[in-house]
Amino acid sequence: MIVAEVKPMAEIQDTIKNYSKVLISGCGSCVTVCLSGGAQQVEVLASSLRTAAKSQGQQLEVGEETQLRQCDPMFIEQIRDKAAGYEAILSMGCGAGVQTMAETLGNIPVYPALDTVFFGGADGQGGFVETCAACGQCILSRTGGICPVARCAKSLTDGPCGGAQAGNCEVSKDTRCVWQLIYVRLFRLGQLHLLKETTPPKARRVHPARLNRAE
Amino acid sequence: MKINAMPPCQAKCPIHMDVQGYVAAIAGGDVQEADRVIRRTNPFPSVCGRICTRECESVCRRGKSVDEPVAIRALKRYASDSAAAGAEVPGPEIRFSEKVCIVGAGPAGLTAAHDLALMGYRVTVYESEDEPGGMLTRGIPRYRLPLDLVRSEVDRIRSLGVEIKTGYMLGRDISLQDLQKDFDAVFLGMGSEKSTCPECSGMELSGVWTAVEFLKDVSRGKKFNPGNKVIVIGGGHTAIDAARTCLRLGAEDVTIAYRRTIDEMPAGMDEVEDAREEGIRFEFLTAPEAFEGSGKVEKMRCVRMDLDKSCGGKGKLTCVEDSAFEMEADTIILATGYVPRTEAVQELCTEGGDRLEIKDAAGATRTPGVFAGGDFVSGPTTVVQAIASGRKAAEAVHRYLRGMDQSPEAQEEILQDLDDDVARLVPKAGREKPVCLDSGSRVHSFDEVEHVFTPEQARTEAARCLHCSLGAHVSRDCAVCLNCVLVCPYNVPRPGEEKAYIDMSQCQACGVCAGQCPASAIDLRLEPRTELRQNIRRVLERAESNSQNDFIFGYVCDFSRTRPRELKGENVYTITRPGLGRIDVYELLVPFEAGAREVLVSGCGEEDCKFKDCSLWTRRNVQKAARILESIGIDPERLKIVEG
Amino acid sequence: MGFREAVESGKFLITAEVGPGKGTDMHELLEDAEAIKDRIHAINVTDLQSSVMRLGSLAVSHILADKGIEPIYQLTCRDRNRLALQSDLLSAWVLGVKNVLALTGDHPVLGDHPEAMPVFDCDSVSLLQMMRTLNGGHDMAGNELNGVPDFFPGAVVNPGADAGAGLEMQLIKLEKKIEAGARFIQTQGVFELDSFEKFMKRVEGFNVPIMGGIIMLKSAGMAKFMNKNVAGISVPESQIQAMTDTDDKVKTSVEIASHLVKGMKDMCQGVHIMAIGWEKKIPMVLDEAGI
Repeated sequence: MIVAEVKPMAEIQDTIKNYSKVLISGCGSCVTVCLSGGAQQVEVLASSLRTAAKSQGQQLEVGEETQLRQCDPMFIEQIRDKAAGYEAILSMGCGAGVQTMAETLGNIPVYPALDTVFFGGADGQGGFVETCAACGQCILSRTGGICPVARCAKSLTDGPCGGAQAGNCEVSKDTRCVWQLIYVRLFRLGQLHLLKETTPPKARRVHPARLNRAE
Repeated sequence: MKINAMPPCQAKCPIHMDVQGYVAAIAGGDVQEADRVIRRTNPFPSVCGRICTRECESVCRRGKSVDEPVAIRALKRYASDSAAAGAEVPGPEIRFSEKVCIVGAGPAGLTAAHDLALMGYRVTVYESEDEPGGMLTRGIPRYRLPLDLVRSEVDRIRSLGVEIKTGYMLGRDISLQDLQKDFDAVFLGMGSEKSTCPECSGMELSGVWTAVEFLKDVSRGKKFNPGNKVIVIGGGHTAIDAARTCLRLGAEDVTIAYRRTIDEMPAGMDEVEDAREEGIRFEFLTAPEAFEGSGKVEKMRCVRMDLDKSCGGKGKLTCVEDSAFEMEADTIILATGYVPRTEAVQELCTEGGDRLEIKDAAGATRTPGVFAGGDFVSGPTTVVQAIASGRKAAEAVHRYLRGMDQSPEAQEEILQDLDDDVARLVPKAGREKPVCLDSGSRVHSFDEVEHVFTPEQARTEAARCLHCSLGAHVSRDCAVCLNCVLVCPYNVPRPGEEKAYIDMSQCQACGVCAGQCPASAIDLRLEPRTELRQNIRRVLERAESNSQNDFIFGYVCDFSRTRPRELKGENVYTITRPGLGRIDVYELLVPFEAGAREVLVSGCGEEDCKFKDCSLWTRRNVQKAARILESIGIDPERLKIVEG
Repeated sequence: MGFREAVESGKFLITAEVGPGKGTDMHELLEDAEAIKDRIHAINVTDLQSSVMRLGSLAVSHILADKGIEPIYQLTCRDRNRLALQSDLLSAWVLGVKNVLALTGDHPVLGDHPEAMPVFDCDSVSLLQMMRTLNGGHDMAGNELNGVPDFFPGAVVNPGADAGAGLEMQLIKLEKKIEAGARFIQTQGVFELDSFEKFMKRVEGFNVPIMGGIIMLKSAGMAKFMNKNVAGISVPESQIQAMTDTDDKVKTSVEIASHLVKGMKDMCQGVHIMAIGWEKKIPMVLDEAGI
């Protein structure tokens, strides 16, 4: 899933400062799951912006809306009429959601309220961790199902650098060196021999990538 | 409420009283509302508040899994004793022309009369005695149930337009055929007052009484001297009542002789305990053979019994050979069983028998339009069973008169027991005990033994309710983020097949998950979010128009006993909620939108809280909201937690 | 005799290290290099060490070569993609730089421009393969080179890596580096001969000269700092105590370093002395070690 976080309030306020009627639009998918852009965040942000405007003596009407999935134009179509009543839209979707909305609605400015930060999964304790880099050339079969491209600070695919201390990454002392994790996993799987294989530098992906359903 | 969502207390109650409803109202301090809720299903609250056998408490999940059951009966009594008399049940919306006759003004008959009157029928009740109430007025001793209470409940029923004619006995003063002619339907609820006596010689001796006769005479105020030594034979409520009454009449040595053991006694254990406290002795496995004396009874010859429990049921009784012994007695009271008097309705009985033939659970007899219920059908049971029976009969009469099908029995599906893993996390809180007269002084009078709860006791006790089945449910907006799984203090939610699954049987209704659900997909049956939001809006509108930009808005927990001084005074507007862990960040922020000067959150403090981790989540939400306030340039100190 | 010849002849190898500074002034660096050039086989030139932006290692390596001091050009994968790496290597060759030490490099976030993009298009193993490919007359894409270099590549290993998985992976990666063409190996700073001896037993049969790394201690504080912050370094308490108790830090530091050099003479194939500003003391170390 895609993980995002709410932008600093000052930045959000700045992007909408010239409008008096703004629709906040949440997304019911990934960003709801990571607690940043679901229905609950929409009402909290809406109330905060209204209160802030009131305390500064400004006129601001804020509408609230949450789509099931903002990154599909078919869902955006459902709010087209409602959106037409606003001067601007503040999207609480990920970067993909903001763009789909902007593209679909065309003549209404759509602004992001979130910073999209990574692809990842839940850590089981309420947090989320980056686990996939969408590199397009998966090597998980050789790394015990743990991705060094996403989870090594240097994306090293041939083993660790010499910087790990007590099994932790040189960049962040509270992050396990991913190669330490890979070693332990391969050891358990009886696949330590895989560490001896050399991985050639990856072919870099060309942006933007596309996936056609017909294929 | 749908029957399959019933909490055990309600499901087990023969009349499915909304226990949670009135307990919650008491917890919130609204006695009038509690009384209204009670009266919706029970025409005899002050009676049931005292002498109900409280099957609800026996299945209370707090008692089964956590500590002790909620004192439901005592709370019901508190509500009905404290509510102002004005809490009237609204009358019928439609009036029907049909007339219904009820025979027997006991709890079954009067309940049927009450319900039918509320449905819009004209109801006449015939009672053979000179006072309505049945066993309530002439069977239950005063120290358990003061007479004026029963009278006032009967008066309420009269006030619905029910006519009660006393002194009419079926078969003597009126006949079933006449009633069938004069009325469109008849309900027979004549009770079960004919004593069955053991086959003993000496029954004719003076000083040998049946309990029903004895209690009736005492309740009518007849002077009665039982002498010093009394033996009561039997093991039910009536035996205990008779024995305790004898103590109050001056007897010094009262023994209850029962042919089985304490485990088989139909009387409740608390009654047995009360009796023991008062000095009553018990002789178990003892059966009478003969009462002896010259003219007046002087002693009872009896034998020891042997109970073989291995054969199932109540076990098989046999006399122990050569075990005969004698007990001295000035008075012997037989409380060994009662059967209905069916002489006046022979045409409704089984061929050649004296038992009523009943065709369905609602009490239809073999004659269309004639229904029967209460102890008259079942034999002696409890007051609440009689009420239930009267209710069913009223429904059946209504369906009969309206030409509707008789309703099928609803399938009751009740909650599962609390899992040990959940129960262990529920904060313990001991049961409140009402003050009782001490056993030394109470035996000298017919004053009521048990007192009513004080208001503080009642609120504390009501707060012990676990809100079974009123917990969280997940809507289709669930994004399956499983945040609920992570935040639940009781570890109840689980990943389900399509969305998060919260087991209604285990949820404690603390609302923490609802406050943390990013999709706003979780709500509680206990005061749903829409209700809360409406309340907030209403109170904020009032605050805004009365004291613009200069008011304090407070969230107060229903279960906190004291209210901090910050929340008293002018320009303070409050919302009370059952628990504050559920107040989400939006709800903390929205009063500022309306111009609140301060938002105060008043919980009960960590140790006291009935919900695990409630204070923790309240604090977290307040901190989160405070950070947002800071980010929009509002002093975060304007939002704070205050404690009493 | 050049560094490559020394390696190939099996001599006990001695190298030192200089770090270009922030700015264009090379005065002190060149003075230090001049002071030791006769006692060593080559001098490593660090590549933006610790990810701090400095004068480049290629320029300094070239200037040393011009002055007849043989450089070992340290090249990291941090700042260059495969185009830049290959191009810089060819530039090095034409500027007279032949020895290249292939390193992955520290992460930019540890340096003075933490927001910089970390490149890491290649890693140390593929950088070594790259040099072998260039030596063979082709670039990574298989295109033929017009004019072919002949680099003498080296690599590093950290013998003090966490025992267990850390060390095992260092050894596996070392084998990969050797397989990819590393001709000499310099190690992270070593302070204990016993554990270094054990490490050397593990690399027996790798058939590439190993040069034990020696960091000159300047103070007890520096030792403690490294113990805490530098991966694989553990200065024993006795040496920290000696640096604390001494009246003459230089003398004690030289004693410690020379003791290590002496010990390593029989264990490995050379030493790499990192003096960190005390380059001028290196001759004293070698004198005391009897070299």
